[in-house]
Amino acid sequence: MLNVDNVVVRYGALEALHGVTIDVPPGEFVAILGRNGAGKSSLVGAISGMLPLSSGSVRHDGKRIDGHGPTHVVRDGIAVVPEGRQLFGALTVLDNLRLGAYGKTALGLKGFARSMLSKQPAVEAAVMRVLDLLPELEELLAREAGTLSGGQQQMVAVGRALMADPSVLLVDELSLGLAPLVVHRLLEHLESLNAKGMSIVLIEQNITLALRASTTAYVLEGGVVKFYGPSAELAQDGKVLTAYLGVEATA
Amino acid sequence: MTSDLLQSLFTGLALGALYSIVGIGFVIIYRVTGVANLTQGALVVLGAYVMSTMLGFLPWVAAIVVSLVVTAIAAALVGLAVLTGRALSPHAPLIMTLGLAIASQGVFILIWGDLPVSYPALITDAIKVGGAFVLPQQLILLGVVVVLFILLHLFFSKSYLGKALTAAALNPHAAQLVGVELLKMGTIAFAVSGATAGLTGAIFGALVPVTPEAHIAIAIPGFAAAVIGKMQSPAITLVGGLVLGQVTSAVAVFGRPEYQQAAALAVLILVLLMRAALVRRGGELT
Amino acid sequence: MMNSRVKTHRRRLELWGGPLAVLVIIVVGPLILPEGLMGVGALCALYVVAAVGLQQMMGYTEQISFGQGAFWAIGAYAVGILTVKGHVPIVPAIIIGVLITGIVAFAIGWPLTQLRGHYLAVATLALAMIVVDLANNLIDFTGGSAGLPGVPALTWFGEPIIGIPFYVVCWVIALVVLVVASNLSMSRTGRAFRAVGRDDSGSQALGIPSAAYRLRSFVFAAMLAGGGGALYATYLGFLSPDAFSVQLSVLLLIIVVVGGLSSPYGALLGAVVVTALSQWLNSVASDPAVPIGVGSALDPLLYGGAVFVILRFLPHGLQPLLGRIVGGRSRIGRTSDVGMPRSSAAFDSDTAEPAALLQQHGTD
Repeated sequence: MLNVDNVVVRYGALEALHGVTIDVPPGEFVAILGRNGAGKSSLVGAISGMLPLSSGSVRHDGKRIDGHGPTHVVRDGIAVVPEGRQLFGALTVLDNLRLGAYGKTALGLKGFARSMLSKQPAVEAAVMRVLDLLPELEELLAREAGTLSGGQQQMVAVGRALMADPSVLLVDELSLGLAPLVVHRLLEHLESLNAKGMSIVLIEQNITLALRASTTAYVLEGGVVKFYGPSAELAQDGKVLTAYLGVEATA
Repeated sequence: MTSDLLQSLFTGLALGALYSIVGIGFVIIYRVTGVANLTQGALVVLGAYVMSTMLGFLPWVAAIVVSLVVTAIAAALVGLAVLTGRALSPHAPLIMTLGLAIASQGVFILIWGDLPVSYPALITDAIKVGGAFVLPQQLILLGVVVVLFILLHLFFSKSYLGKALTAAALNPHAAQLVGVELLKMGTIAFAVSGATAGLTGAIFGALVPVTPEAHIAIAIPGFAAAVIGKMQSPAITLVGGLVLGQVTSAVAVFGRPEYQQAAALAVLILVLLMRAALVRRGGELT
Repeated sequence: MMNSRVKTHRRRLELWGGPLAVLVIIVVGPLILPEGLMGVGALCALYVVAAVGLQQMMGYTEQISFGQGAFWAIGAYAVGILTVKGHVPIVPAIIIGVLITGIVAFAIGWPLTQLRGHYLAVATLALAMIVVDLANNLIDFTGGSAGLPGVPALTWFGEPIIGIPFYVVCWVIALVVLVVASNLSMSRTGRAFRAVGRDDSGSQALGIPSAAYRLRSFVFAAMLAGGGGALYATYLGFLSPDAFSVQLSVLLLIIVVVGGLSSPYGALLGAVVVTALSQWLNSVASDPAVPIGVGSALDPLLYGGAVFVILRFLPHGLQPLLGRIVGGRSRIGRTSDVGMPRSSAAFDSDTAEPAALLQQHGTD
């Protein structure tokens, strides 16, 4: 269970989140919607540990995980697929994947010693596990990550996050710049992961997609949650859609 | 004439090897942290000084290991000090390292005095090659640098930690998201560069007496080599350093020795300007 | 953007408080300082002049320069050579000296200001070292390490200006420089906004200073340093390359950082503090109880150490503290608010210099 409790995030004098509360029960598929500037990036930053909280807390299974930075968050089982893929372009896909397990394997003194090696059993096993979940990655392993197409990169980014064996997967702007077919395929993967019990938090600009895949949706606007509820309901609610998302209601 | 040329060649090789490894150290630190570490020269000098003291009561292998460890720790401390203060101002790290490099001069004087310090090489007999005297230590230096280069290459391309360091250099944001701690990576980068600098210094000190002010004369061509390597590629830095070694050596042997430092400085400025011109034409920003 | 209330307060402080402080120094100085320290006091004023130039460069165009010492040296040696070898009278020699420094700075600066960030820093460091090397080696011109004696003092109708009058002259010059620089930077915001309206490249609109602007501040800073060096030459009467080592560049940098980058008066604050401190340190070092070996270690140790400590613990200089004491908001002297979200860890993903330049640094 992931709880974001009344979180406030500030940049200097500018307040980007004014007390946002979001709950992600285990196994849920939650969508976070909102226009640009609504606070979505700040929310991702707050949960992932990249941004300090001015007040409020982030809890995972009852334990507070905020305030210790991103390493703590990923070790606790929350992995992030960042906006814009953010792969290690000059490294191979395989190495990109391997590094996804860094948080889980390379910390501490023993981990440090192990990280001098080129191959670690735990990391290689995790790679096999991820290839099972995302078989399309197998043929890309030797390719340099920067040479892949957008859709392929997105898949690698998801795979890299999965290497940490997370219980919560935070996906930031999955569909940005990708063709619909590719996005559809990726969403299928996410849905199947969700079916296996992984909680998914999807931050998305593509509202139709997000509402279709998710069970619950939150709408952010101006740094606060303006609406939340079952996605099916929101999909029908023309008023909310137009008011906060600037979208014409689709039947 | 040929013996002069040969002399210049061999002295240049030793100098070049030194510049190369210093330059590679610059590149490693810069790639991982974005900081230009001006204490690289001081770390070489430290390695030589420690070696000189340790040789007093340890066999040379042990003495070199101590040099390596001491410089690695010193470099790690520099890295920590500089990197933790970094968020406060973008200019700060470079100037901080300069301050520490200057301060190190004072520290060296306090511990080892301000007179030059020297110690014997491993093999003292010079080899005569066509009228020039080649010191085995020069060849050892070159050999060690090449080995270090290979080891570093293997480290960065094969080991998990090395890849994590590269990842931190390529995309710090994503690296943090997978659990890589940037401060740790930065400190490791400093420590590795420091260790290689110190090791090389320990060998170089047998060739040229060590003085507290020497750090600048070592750092400047090293930095130039790194700039030639685009602050990116250790391989090009290696070559660049060797070339610079030949240039400085030639100036000392054929030109006016008192202008040796000025020549090195002029070369540095030239290299910087050429790089800037290339960047502008190529359109890239880094 | 600072809110306008803070801005007006700061403006008033600078407009009136700054010059007032200098006037106090001019008037009170001779009264409380012993005759022997008049020279040091005058030197402090010259440091202010050189430091203001550096502040303009670093505060508004984000260029780090270790080269101010080089231009100080060029100004000093120009005056020295003109007066001693060329028998040019002192006042014209000083003016020509400053002009020569400007020309050299323009020639060197044209290619050099293409560089940014650490590259410029290292290049200017190399420049400073080259100048010292040349001073040592061009013996026919500079007298080499033996030095160049016989530089005349300033004269006023035949009477040499030394001691208290020289002190006053230097501080008046410093006052003029401070006021001019202060006015220039006050109108900077206005000019910047006008520039945005112009049809220039995108970088102009983003506030990254153009190459011409950077060159201009480089030359301006150099001429100020050259002026300082020229007057220094008349004060000392004797030039030696040792006096122009890299340490001078570092000293000016310390002054600017201690005083704070966001206002020319930071140079005043820094110069006074640093001069006072180094006087005290000198008295400590020349204490007979201190062993000789330690003496030569003290200089680099203290300068280098000071640079590190200040940058590490007081990177905004003393202005924020002063601001709080004087009663304004503590924003005085601080860099402006962070506009872009920063990650909580130690460094950015964009190590490219232009992106770093985008951070508002010391602008209104």
